[in-house]
Amino acid sequence: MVSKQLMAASTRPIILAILARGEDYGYRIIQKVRHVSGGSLEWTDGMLYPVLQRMEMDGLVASRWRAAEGSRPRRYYRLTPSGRQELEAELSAWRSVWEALNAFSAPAAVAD
Amino acid sequence: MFDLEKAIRDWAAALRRFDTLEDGLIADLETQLRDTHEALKAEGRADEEAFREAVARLGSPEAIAAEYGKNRGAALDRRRPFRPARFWPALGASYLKTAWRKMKRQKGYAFINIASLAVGLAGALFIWLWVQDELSFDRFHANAPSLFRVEQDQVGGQGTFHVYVTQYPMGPAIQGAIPEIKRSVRYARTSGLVRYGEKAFFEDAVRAVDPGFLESFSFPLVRGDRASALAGPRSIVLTEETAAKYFGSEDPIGKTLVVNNSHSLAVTGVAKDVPANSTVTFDMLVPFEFLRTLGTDIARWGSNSIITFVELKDPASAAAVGEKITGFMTDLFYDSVKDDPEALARARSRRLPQYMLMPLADIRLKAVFGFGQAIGTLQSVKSFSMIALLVLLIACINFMNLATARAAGRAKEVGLRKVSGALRGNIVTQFYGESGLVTGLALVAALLAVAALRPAFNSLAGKEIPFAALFSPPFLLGLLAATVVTALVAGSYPSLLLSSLRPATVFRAGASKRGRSPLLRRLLVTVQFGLSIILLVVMAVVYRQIDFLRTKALGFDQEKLIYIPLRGETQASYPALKAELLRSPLIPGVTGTSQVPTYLSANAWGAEWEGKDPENRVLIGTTVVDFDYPETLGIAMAAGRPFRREHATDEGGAFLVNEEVARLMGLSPQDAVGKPFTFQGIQGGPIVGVMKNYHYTPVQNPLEPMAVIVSPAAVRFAIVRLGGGDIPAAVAQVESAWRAVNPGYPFDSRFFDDDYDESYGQYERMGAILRWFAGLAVVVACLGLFGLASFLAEQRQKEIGVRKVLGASSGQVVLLLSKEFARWVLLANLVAWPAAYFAVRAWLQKFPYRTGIAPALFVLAGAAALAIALLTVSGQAWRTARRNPADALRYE
Repeated sequence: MVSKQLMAASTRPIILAILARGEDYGYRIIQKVRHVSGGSLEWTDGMLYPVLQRMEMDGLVASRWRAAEGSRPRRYYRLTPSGRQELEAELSAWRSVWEALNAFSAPAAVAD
Repeated sequence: MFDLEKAIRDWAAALRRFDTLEDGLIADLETQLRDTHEALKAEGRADEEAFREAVARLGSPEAIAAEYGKNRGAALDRRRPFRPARFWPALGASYLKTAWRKMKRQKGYAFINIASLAVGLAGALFIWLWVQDELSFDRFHANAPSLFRVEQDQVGGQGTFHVYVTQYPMGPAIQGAIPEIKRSVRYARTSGLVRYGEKAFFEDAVRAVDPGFLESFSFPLVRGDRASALAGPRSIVLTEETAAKYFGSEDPIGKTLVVNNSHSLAVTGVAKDVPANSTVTFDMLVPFEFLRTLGTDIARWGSNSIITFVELKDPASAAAVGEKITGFMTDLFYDSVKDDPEALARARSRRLPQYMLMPLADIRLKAVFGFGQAIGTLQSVKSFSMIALLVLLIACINFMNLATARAAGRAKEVGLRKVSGALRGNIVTQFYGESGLVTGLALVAALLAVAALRPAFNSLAGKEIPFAALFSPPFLLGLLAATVVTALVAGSYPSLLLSSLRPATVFRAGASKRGRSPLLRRLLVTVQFGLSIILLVVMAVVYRQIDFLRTKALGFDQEKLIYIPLRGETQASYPALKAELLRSPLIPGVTGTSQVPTYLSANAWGAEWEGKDPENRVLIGTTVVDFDYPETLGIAMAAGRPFRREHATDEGGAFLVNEEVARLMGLSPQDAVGKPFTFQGIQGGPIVGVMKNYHYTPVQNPLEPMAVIVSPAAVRFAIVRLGGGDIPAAVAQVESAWRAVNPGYPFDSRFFDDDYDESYGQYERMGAILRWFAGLAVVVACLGLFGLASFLAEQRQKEIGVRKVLGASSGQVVLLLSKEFARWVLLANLVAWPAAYFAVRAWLQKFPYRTGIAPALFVLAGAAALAIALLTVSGQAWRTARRNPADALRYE
């Protein structure tokens, strides 16, 4: 189970990464996260939206109301240039952490 | 039965209790809810169960609200201290964007606003064009400031009679005697038959002018030389259009035109066609000397029949020059009677004419004739300008009303802006920006309308305003002024009202939407309809007066009466013509006059009779006629008899007078018969008959004393009474009689009725313009009423819903909504009726014969306004009343 803190820290980068692949709306983002993580990341539906609003206030994403053909209007979010920059920064930070973790969890080379 | 929508509504209502959850955020959550709900249903879950699950999955509202609260806290912390925008473009752009977005969202109101302002502006612009045209008359001459017309006041017993004609020899005489006069130019109307080869036409627009005419006035010549064109005694100058008529595309210079089959004139110049905005008009110009050849004694003093223009060296000397002319003429007169002690004594006792100079450019607007009759267009200019302003005012009121009516909806926005630090001035600017945007769009629409409708307006107003006038600096200036003033006026009330709102009152829960309109708004609508009613009344009175003029009895039988001008040589053929005409059974009577029969305008001083006070000079109309004059025209005799050939002394020795003369003499018509009368060179000739008063000029002119002399030789217009029921046949007979007697001359005749119709033309045009503007005013007022009514009806939805639930029928609701508006319109009548009454009374004073001001007209106008208002309002009211009360009460 993913800890609360980890979940909190990873929310933003995950959202940025999903949006990097294109414009998307809240429900679909949650679906993708649930799907890709195989269920280990279960975000509370309602909590996503304040996060998105905060990210918009910080200028990382931009939103607009759109009604795709035949369906109801939804608020679509997309990445801004500074959002892309943030994503890059996050990715390299997480990569560093991952590499460090990975290095420490590989079988240790016996120092002969 | 599970109602999803109701469940969602309840859920949303519950969320709204958290004040960090604004409507927009709840909408986000709602879409999430619906999407989840759908997905769960697709998995096979039941409707209600899916809903509950979806709500659960959303998470706890408290937590969500708390998160949003954190965001807001961060926002507030992050907010920079407010500095009002220094550079207004950024802020201004924001205002414009807001205004634009608002407009797009409320297309209906935007349309009404723009439409009514556009209509008001278009009307005002048309009037401005019209006024500009009137003001531009005669200003195109290079010497315009220095050009004047010599006019005179003649003083007599009946008052001061003003004329703008002068005597033949005056021009050269005063030019020689008064050094301030650079040049005098005489200008006389003349006419004749003009022939070139096979083409022959009667030309009535021939002007005999002194050679300096082309130098002083700016009528450029496209062919020929200005300085010499009229120098030779047998020269003639044509306008381009006239030249084309005779010569087609041939070069006219040097060709010969024959006048009255007797005199040859060489074409020495072709002038550009006279512009429409000129009081001086002509088709052909001949030298003044040519009048002598035509038989006029131009050396004779004594009768005032031509126009004398003068060009002054210094325009400021005009008043002084007028006095000098008076002095000159006075001296001349005394010189002429110095050997006749009786005449000298008589002269000493009377006031001689006073002369003055009227600036050329003032003639169109301010010309005066006769006993103080203003024949200029100044009054029309003022009236129409007033009307245009009224229509514009009505349109501005629309804007103000609509903007303030929606104030409640805007209040939150204003409050928000104020909380964000907007100063009151900024709010004011924002709303002025909005009114500016609406006015700007209305202006574009108005300009397009004016450009497109210009030809129609020209024919309506009898003008020839060119397209280029839309680009003239005065027009553009007026345009700018109208736009700025409109934007300011229209924006003033709403901006001042809304900017004074205090945010606290606005954000209070359940900010009240007032169902009743404040006093000022009611007042404004009342004013709008009041102005419209005034216009309607004025229009009705104008049309009634025109109708009155048309149908007023002229005192003779003017139908089926034609006259034939006897130009040049044909004048001598009159006796033969009369004889020939009378042979036809379709022609019961023939007579003739020396002037245009529908406009006997000549008059003279010097009438005397027994018992007349010698000090009292009177002006009496005079004309020379043929025998059978009263009989042919159908003038009834009040006493005595018409001229009869059997009485040999009638010809050139007797008078027929009208009742006015008898009245002047202080006698009844019966007593006046037989009295000796001295007038026009006839000493003591008897008055053989007194005619009942008849209108010898169109009815808008006063009826004055008239004394008529008989002398068939002086007839220049034959008058023919048509009989037998078949008018075209009768006219054909007249024509064939003419051809028998004057074979070489084209036949030209006019119906009396046509002359009168033409003279009423100016009033018809005015009536037509008035009709359109009254219509515009009503349309604009209705547009405003429509917008206001629909808005107020919307506001009162809940009230209506409640009433319907309590049992009111749709009809009763309509009545309720309409009642309030009806009251406003009825009140408007109270204001409008006195104003309209004064306006029409002032206008009718101009006419010696006028229609009565019937109270029915006022009632009718008021009723019409009421009907139109109710029609406008009831449509909206009906729609609102029909709406399902459940919908109205939904959001409780």
